[in-house]
Amino acid sequence: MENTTSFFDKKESKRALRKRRIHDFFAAGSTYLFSSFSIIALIAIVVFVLMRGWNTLSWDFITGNYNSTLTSIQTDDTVETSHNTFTYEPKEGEYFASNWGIAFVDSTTSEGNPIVRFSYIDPKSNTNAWIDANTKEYFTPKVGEMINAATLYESKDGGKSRIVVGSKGAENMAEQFSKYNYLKSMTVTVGGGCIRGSLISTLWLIFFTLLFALPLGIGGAIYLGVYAKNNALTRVLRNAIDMISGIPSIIFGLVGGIIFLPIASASGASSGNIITGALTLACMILPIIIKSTEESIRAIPARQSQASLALGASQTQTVFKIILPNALPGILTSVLLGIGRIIGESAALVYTSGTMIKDVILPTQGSATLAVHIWDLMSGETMNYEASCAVSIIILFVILILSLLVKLLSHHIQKMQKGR
Amino acid sequence: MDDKQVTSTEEESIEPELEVHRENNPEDENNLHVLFDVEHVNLHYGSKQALKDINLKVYEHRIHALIGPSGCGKSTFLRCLNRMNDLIDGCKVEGKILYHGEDINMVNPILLRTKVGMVFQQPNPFPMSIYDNICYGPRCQGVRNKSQLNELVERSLKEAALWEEVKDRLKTNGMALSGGQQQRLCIARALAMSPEVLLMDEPTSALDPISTKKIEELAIQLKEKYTIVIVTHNLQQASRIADYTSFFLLGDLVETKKTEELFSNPSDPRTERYITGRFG
Amino acid sequence: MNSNETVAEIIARNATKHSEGKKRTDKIVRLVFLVITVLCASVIVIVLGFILIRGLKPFSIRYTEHFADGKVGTGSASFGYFFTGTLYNGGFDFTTNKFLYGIGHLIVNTLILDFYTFLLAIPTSVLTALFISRIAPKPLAAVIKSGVDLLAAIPSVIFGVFGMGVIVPIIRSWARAWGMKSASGVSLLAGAIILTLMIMPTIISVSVTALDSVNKELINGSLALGASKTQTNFKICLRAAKSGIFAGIILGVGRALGEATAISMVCGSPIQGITWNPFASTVTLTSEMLLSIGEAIPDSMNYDIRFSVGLVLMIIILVTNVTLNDVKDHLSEIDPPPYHIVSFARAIKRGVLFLVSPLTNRKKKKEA
Repeated sequence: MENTTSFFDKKESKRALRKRRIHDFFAAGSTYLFSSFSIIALIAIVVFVLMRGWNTLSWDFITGNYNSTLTSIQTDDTVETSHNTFTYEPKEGEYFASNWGIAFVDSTTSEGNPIVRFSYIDPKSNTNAWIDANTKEYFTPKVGEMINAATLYESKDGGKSRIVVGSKGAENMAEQFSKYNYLKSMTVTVGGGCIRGSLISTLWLIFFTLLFALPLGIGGAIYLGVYAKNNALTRVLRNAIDMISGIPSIIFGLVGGIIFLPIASASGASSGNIITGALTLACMILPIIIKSTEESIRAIPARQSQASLALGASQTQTVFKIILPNALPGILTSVLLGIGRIIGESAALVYTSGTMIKDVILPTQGSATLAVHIWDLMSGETMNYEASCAVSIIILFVILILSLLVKLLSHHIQKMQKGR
Repeated sequence: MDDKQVTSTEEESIEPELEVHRENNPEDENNLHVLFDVEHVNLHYGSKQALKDINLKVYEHRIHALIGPSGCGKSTFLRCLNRMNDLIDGCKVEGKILYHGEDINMVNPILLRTKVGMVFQQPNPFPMSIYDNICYGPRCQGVRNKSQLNELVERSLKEAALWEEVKDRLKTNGMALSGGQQQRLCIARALAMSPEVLLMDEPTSALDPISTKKIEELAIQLKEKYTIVIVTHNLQQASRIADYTSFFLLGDLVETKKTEELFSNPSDPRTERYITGRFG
Repeated sequence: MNSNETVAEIIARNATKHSEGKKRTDKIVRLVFLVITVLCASVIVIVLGFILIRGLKPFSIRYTEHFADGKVGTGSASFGYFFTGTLYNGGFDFTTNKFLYGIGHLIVNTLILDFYTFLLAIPTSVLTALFISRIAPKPLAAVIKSGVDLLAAIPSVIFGVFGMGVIVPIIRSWARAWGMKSASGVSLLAGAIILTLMIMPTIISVSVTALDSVNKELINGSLALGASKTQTNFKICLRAAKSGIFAGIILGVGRALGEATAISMVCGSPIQGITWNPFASTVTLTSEMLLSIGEAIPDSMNYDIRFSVGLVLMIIILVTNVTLNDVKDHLSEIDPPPYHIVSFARAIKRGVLFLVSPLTNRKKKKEA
């Protein structure tokens, strides 16, 4: 015994232990490092989108038109203007004309050309004499509207005049406005670049897609969940439906375009409209609806439908009175998941419902949804990050709400199952 | 059918009469009406035979208990009586089951199940109100009259001895009741169809002793109006409530006898071994 | 309805009267649901059928096109050039009367992009899954899990915007710092990073499920032998869950191959040829299909050739899926023989068997 060394050689084992600890530290540390990637990416996306888009996002942005309107403005000579000296502390980048009480700021149009916008208008400013040249009604300029050009006079009766254009920048505009007290005419671009149309077409698209997909999807789920026997036909059907979810959306776009567009143009609608897009997306979200609904149908204890049948109810009555009401949470989940998919879809829609951003939305006409709106903004010559990010904020917000609702619903379903 | 159209007011006047009738009842099998006449029934699940040549008579207004170790075909047999086995893939029933002398395979299962009610092992109220639970069956048969339904709910709940406990909360969800109450609700739900037979598949196995006692008392009350076939694991329960008892073993029907006779004087040694607790 | 009728009478009367009708209704309703299901399932047949027929059309039918120089060309697309050519729109060959559309470079570029993507995505996803499943304290795991789920729900167009706004500038500055040429940062690498973010959630969630279902006895056995927790996680859990993890990777491949919008944004400017340089811009099958779709006129060669590209994409997806599934089955064998490229033939055979599996399964069952 004395000759043999101890099995636990203290020095050796200590060194081995330390080596192993270091090894473990790096191995475990790497998992910490890598798993932080997805969180960092998520945060980065949210922060980027918020930073670039938050300032653009406003109620007007959501409710405004995409196409802007040009308004010519004249001055109503009968109205007395005050010609006061207004005080305002211009912020960085703003240029203030104190005799008018208006501040200007450099900006770009949605096409990316330089333009000047109103950035501040004093409540008592001399704009109270401005009228719309077409309608002869008083025109109230709003912050953010773009000034294309203006003709200015030194005095009411004429005198020296000067034309300023928006493309020359805000500093020049403020300087000229300060020199001249009277406005002969002006053209202002009102609105534009907003997303009301795309929002409405998204809502239409969701409505029509669910209208087409829900009856089919729920019907399929009922067949697979209630009636289907375990035979070859069922397995073929199941495999086929599973395979749908493996097809990329761009393929759906191509095929949807080739199948539905001729039908659309034959029926008088413009080829590539919201309904053809909805038909295509309905095919895409079918597996989602079938899977989630069938899952919740399978979660209904068999004894429920047995009890119904034992009471002399027919199979049809059992399906509609017992199974469908009980599967409602699952159907709702599938609707939410489907909406999430529809809102985010772009590749399939580019082929089937058009890429034109429009203000007047008809289901029989093609128009861009919010996601396609972003795609449009980003695939042009100049990329409009501000507007794309603002739209992205809206989409992300909706998706966040949807996933929270899905979580709540699945929690509810689990609770119900435990209750039984 | 006519003697079962009892409204709640008539019921009270009839009940004492029935009590008397029960006590004077001479148990002569030849005088009793045969409700179910089961002849040579074999049942296969795929390639596995679950029931082997079952022959059995069920008499009207009697409680017939089916006993035996688990997995020996009692419940399967019970489900044959209202053709619930039709719903199972690969289940094949051979032989004849006569109901009032008519082969049930010739009867529409929906019609059959309105006459033959069933109560399951696990209480299974629908996730809807107590009221809707009871009205479910009648509504499925097109009963729409509100006052009739109200009356029906009250009568069925009274018959199932649940009325006093739930009369103030008919709109609460049936799932919110206790286990015993749920099972009585399921019985009331079955009674609302005015069936002739109640099939009970171990109705008390998921319940506590007090609820079990209530259901047993209920079963004895109900046999005046209905015929009951009950599957039970519990030999005491069978001896307490059943008029006739059949002993099943591994898909065979070993013997059927009046309950007292079976427990006191079994003719088959396997029955004796089972009731004395030596196997199973 | 007779008001004196009791409920029992009504039930008896209606049950007798209507039960046959109800039986018939049941049959009809069942048939209706079956038809609906068949309709749902036929979507895949329609999609694949249309892609196949329309994809072959440019090679079989003659198209007439007017070119800018006044010449008129009539002919079909050249089949050989389609797969070997490296110029998407190579014009018209008047000597052979063939349209020259080449997608050879697109196929290779797509595979290269996916190769880079999986180089990034596999370690990240697997280690994240391991972290969520075995290492992280419960609340942290829940937070990361929800984050990953949320990442999965973000539409690809937003990934595109993010890629253009954040990833591309970062890559541009890296390229400058390392003295590499890069087309303003719009590059293969940017595409790979964005694709990684997009397919990670798929791989992670499938892998977490696989890791969660690793037998606890196995883990206890490893710990009882004196292995540390980390050693157990890496040596036992990952190995035990490898087939599940691979299933996640297969799902990820499908999504990566089919992704279009984000890719066309962050790495697509039309180039020719094959590029391995991560800082160079590239163009893939999907991004080429999206490019200048607005200008394509239906029934023209330029429009119809996209179906051929789509057909090639579907074939690639199918072949990779079948091959990877075979590798997965191979991995889940207890003592796998070394995997050779020769096994590819076996994979194809299995793929065919898989497609007809519902029919063969039944036969096997009958035999049993």
